[in-house]
Amino acid sequence: MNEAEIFKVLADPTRRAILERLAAAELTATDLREGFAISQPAMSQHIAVLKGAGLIQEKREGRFARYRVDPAGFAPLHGWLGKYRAFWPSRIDNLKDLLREMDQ
Amino acid sequence: MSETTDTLVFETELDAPPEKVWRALSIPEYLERWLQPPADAELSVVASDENRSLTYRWREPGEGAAVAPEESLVTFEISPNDEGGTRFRLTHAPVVVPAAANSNEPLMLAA
Repeated sequence: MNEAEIFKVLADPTRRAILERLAAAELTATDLREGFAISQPAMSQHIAVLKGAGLIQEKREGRFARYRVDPAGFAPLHGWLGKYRAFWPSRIDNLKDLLREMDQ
Repeated sequence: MSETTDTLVFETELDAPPEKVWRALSIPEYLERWLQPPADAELSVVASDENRSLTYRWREPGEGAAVAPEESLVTFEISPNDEGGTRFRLTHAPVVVPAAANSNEPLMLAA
């Protein structure tokens, strides 16, 4: 899973909402559907996408599966963020220097 | 939730009026001087509101192995502050595919 693919997975607001809920607690698919106006197959599809992307983990307990966020799956995203978090402050310093050099 | 936050925001005060900052942001020669974009980065203006807000599409192709062209949006927002300078806000966010455009296709081809 590279960062471009992760961004695609995260582009879906429902999937983002699912991740936010799973960040707070381990939940079953049934728990997850509460508050979402989506069908069970649609929820299953979102879970499959998130699982396939390595962003969530499934834990089987008898007939039920519980889901939780897998922090390791977010590593490429953190790579992107880390790169530009380091990039911009130096550029903003450059901008301040340039503004001093520019004519009014 | 911090793990899914994929937007970077930087805020600072600049010691120059917005009109001058605007020139530094919008005139390509000035922009290149301070931004020093990576060699293969492509920038294009996607939204412009003079002296207030400017958004560039930032394309950086071929990042890492087998990565599709990476696109993101860089937005500068500027406004006058009380000291005759400029309040500066930079937002850098990946371009994401609208949910409606991809919800019906099987996204996950590889586990």
